[in-house]
Amino acid sequence: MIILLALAAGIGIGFAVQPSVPIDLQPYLPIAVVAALDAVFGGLRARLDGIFDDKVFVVSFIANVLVAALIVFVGDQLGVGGELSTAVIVVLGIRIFSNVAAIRRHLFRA
Amino acid sequence: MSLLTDIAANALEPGYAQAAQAHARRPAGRGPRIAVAVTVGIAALLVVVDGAQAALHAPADARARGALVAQVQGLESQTAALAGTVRNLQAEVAAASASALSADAAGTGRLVGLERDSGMSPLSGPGLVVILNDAPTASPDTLGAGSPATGQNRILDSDLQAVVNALWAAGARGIAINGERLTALTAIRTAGAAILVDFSPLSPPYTVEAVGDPVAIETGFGGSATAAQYRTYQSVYGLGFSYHRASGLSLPAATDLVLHEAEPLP
Repeated sequence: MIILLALAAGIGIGFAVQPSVPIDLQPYLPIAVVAALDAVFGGLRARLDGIFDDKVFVVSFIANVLVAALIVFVGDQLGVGGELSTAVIVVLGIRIFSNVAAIRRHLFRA
Repeated sequence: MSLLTDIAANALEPGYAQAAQAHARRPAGRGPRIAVAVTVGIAALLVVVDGAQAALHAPADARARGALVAQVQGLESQTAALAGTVRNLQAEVAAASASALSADAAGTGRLVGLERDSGMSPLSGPGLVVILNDAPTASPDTLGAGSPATGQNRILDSDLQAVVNALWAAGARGIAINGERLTALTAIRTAGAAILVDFSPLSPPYTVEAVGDPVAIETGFGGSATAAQYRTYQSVYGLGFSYHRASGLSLPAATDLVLHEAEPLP
């Protein structure tokens, strides 16, 4: 219950405050969001698998977001930021898809 | 693609499985629920902020594009309006000169003749059409400035100059290349891979229309050294070269004629 409340609170704060992202961080925000989605869907699947762990979820969330942004940042410095963004998106996209498919199997038994 | 298969197979953080094994060995109590809640809240916040950013940028891009489109359209309509003004002014000039010269039939005739010969007015009548074309083996990138071997299969500016000069010598009254009327001041030259006539780039085939007495031009041009030269080029290099008489040629007036010496009377 508290988790759903936090979800609603995050959405509400986002819409209410409309924080402006510093221009230097804007390229990394979409990557960070995809990494966050990956961690969230992974946690949901673990919960349905019955092996959810608070610590793993929190640490994987923070680490995924930071590492994804860092990879793209390093890629930008090396001149391959676009390619590394694509790589990160591909990897995280496949993971999100697989996890959502597993969640679907749990929910619909199909 | 074992890499992609790996990613798909290990989509779930391996940490969950390890933690589950650890729990199985020594069962622990419920962890701090609050940390999970905060993390989920941050995730939701990130998604919303990113969506807002994307929505913020979309109208800016559309605005910039719309401004450019509007600018282009405005300049196009401005060009059309200016062209209309030019046509009106040309008609005005023609009417003014006609009324000023109405009493002077000899002067009118002289003016018409000069305008026709200088290319200031359109010219139509019978004449000769010369068609020049690159050889089929010529590729667009073989034109190298100054290297004699590369230009031999293409029509160059000097070819057009030679043909035009031969046509003038054969008695042409007016000449146009691909619809560009030549005057005494027209330059035929090469810029990059294109031939410019009066700064308009032309592309092959080059159609040179010469108005005048067709029989005189054909005999004069056909017997010239230039024509003989290009017949040789045609058989040796495969350059396109042909000419035929035509009855209803119509050459446009030259554009961009500027008076250099003449001044209006005080």
